[in-house]
Amino acid sequence: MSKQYPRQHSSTWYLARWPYRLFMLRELSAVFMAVYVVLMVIMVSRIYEGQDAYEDYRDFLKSPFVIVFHLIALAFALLHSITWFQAVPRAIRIRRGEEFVPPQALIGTHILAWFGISVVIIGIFLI
Amino acid sequence: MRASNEPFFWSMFSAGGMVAAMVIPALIIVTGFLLPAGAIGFDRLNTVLTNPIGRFVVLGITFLVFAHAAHRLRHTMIDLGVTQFRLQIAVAIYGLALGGVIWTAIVVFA
Repeated sequence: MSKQYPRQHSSTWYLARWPYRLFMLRELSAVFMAVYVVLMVIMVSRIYEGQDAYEDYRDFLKSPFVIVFHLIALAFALLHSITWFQAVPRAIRIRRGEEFVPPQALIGTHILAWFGISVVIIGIFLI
Repeated sequence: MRASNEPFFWSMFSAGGMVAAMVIPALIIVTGFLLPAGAIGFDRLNTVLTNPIGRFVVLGITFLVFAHAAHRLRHTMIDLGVTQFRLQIAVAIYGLALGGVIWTAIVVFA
């Protein structure tokens, strides 16, 4: 880190091409997920305060602005999940005997686990 | 070579990215849509979230997602050309994440 090279790209390089735009949207997904988690913790806090506080918060969750936020956050979260699982084979290599587990199998296993965990989470609250 | 704290932050980024990928879409469906739609009652939410396991899960998800988001945001800012004040930006972003985790710990355990 001793040398500083001059920056070669423009300050809006990420708008130039779709792969760059997708990269930046994926990076932005983290911000939306963090904001969502803040809303989730506020919800938990209201639930601990009791039913009246929770009902007030539920009215807030029903407002169109908040519904739209959750739609956008869900789109970003799905983008994160799909791109994350696709990147798994770049981070993990599992050897099985002589061969490595093929990348598609690793991605598929993670997506199956994702579906299973999602069903369990929704089930825990609905049952 | 100078000892680096990067492996620690990178492993938190990685664990947070995996947990977020696995749980966040389902949680958004639950708290963003099923809950305002009235599909889930207060008693059920209260039972799940006052359970000790529920409390630890909320804190764990919060810690990992905040750590992930902080790391990603910091590196995105560098990619966007914000190359000055790296230390100050890192302290501010990780500090914000840590503040969020402490706040969550107070909410779930106080």
